[in-house]
Amino acid sequence: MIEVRWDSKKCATPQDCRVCLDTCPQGVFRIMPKEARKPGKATEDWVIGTLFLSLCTACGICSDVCPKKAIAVAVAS
Amino acid sequence: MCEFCTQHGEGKKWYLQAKNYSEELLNDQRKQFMAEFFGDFEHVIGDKAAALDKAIATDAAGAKALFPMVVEQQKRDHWGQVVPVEEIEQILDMSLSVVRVPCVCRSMLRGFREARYCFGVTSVNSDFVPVADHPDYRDLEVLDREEAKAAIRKLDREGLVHSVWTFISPMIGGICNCSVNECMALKTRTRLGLQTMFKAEYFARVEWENCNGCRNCMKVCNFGAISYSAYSRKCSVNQLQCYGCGVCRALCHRDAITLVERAGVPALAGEW
Repeated sequence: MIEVRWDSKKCATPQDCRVCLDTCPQGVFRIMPKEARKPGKATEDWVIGTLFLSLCTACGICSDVCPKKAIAVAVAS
Repeated sequence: MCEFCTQHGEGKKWYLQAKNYSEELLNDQRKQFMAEFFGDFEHVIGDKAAALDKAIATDAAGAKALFPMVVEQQKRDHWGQVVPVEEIEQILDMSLSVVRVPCVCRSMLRGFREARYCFGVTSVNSDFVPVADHPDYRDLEVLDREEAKAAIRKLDREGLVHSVWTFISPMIGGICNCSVNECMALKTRTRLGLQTMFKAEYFARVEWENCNGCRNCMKVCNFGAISYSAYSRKCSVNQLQCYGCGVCRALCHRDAITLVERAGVPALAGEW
């Protein structure tokens, strides 16, 4: 199993960076509001998650390019 | 003709049937469905897709056994079909109002929150626009028919696949213009093998004499359906891989590509 961990403490504003979203060749990531969107209120807290983890090859390009070193990829046996 | 044509088309292609855009279909249930769909797409749709993906990663065979059930649910709620540009224009001709909105898939998958590739269409003058007041979606652009057609033609030349989408079938509420890795439906279908939409009623054919082997068509095909022979200097289409979107035609300088009705070729008539 492949695990991709994104650390919100190291990456506070993923919506302004998006390098992981742009770079991942497999398109594994997604960006979403931390909480459910509420009517009339603009989202401030965005988080990075995985959506197509089954496509991840653990190539590691996301952790290489992340300017905040906020992504770690691990292959668990 | 696809099964939606049989069920909802009354002799026409279902997406050219005016009643599938009609006022009586825009009931409270559908309004609520659309408001939830767009209002919190990343969680409502994203979480569901992520759970399915996780199931595939953990137990591929077990997850795939669930696919038929998921497909039936999608067909009821939110189903799409690839439609070539000239028929999208016919749909726009039937529409009374067109709004251009940011694409929720590109927003979620790429963080592009102002990527205006999606068109809301109805054949009624309705003031109902889901999440119109949500600041994350900013302003909705209202387009007149000719502006909408020009915009779609431009997207066609950029190689984007057009499709129609239901919001609780058979009501069609939107036209999408997608590239494969940025679209939840195309990506789920091509990469995870889960059918989320029908291919077009057509497939593409290269007219051998007209093709000069420039390979422009290959450049825009989202499905890797076109191959090139260095020896004969011609391109050809893999008919089983082709979705019939027809965007390859826009970049062909020699009118060498035509769309052919799927129904006329027995081996492709049931290939959706």
